[in-house]
Amino acid sequence: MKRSRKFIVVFGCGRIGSAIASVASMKGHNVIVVDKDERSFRRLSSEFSGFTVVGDAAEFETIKKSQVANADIVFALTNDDSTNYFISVCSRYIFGVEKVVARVYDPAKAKIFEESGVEVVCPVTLMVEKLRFYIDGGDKL
Amino acid sequence: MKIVIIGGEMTAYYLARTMLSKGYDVVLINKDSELCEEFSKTLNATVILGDGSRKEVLEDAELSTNDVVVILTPRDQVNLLISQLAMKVFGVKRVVSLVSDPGNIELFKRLGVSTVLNLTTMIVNTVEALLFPDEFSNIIPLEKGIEFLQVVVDERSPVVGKRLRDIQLPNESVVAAIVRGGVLVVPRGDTEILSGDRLYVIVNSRIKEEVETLLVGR
Repeated sequence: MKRSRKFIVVFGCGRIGSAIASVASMKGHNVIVVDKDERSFRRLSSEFSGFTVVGDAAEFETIKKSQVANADIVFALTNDDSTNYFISVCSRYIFGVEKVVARVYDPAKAKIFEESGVEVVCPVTLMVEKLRFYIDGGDKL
Repeated sequence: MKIVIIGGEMTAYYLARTMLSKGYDVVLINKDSELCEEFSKTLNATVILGDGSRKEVLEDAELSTNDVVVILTPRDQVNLLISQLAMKVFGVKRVVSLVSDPGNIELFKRLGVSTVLNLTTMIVNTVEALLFPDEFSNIIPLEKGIEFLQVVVDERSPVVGKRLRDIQLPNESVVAAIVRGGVLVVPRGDTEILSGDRLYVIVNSRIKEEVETLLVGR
């Protein structure tokens, strides 16, 4: 049977990270959110009931401390592709996390994430898809 | 075949200079414009100003499968990403990467970067070699947890005059070679240990001290 209560670790508490951590927490999941700047946790919703970890995600110790070993899902959402890659492969290869999702700014790097079994969310690709609407079907006013 | 050096300051410079003098083609990639200017003034190498973790920049370097890529940026996660770009996108087989945090070496190896340079480990090994007495020096860590030791036997050693089979070495250790007066003696059970012998021992790191006590007698 599928567990309904998931354990989710979110790296990067920026606008997206804080939003996804808040949503997950409000839905009743166990959430740990990690950021190197303590002040960024202010972005979390007042209803966030998970844990916060202050640390540099580019360090193995931080990832370990964030209990990635027990995670059902890891989100790598820092503002740096290299750091997100590091978080992703540590989670996949060292801690054996099944589901790892990473934000990747540079579409040219998506391939190496995917080859390491990481699911990629690329803002550029998403935006382009969205904007193509205006070319393909934007004339139906 | 060319040597592509990504990142690094003076190390990159000296490495490039040395490789050039050996007759190799060298490409330097660096995102520091002042460094690049200096490189191009003093070295007969191709110098590319740019972020080596970007695919376009690596394309400019015309990276090909038989190149050797040396990654020297100070950030491990950047080095890891570059190594994977080089290997997975450009099919480069020989990648050497600097790894600053010894804790990350395993991850690099897991991702196929077989050659890692870790200054901390190198210094620790050197310091330990100084801490241990001359007759017992740690040569190289072979793999995680397995080390290759060199032990010089002198007349005070408890194993002098004994045959190998009579020395109760722990299970996870083996005398791999004995060098006697500069000549290799292949260790057999009936090989007698003599003063002056140099023993090369492969040992599990956990029982290093135990083996030390046994062979050196301290």
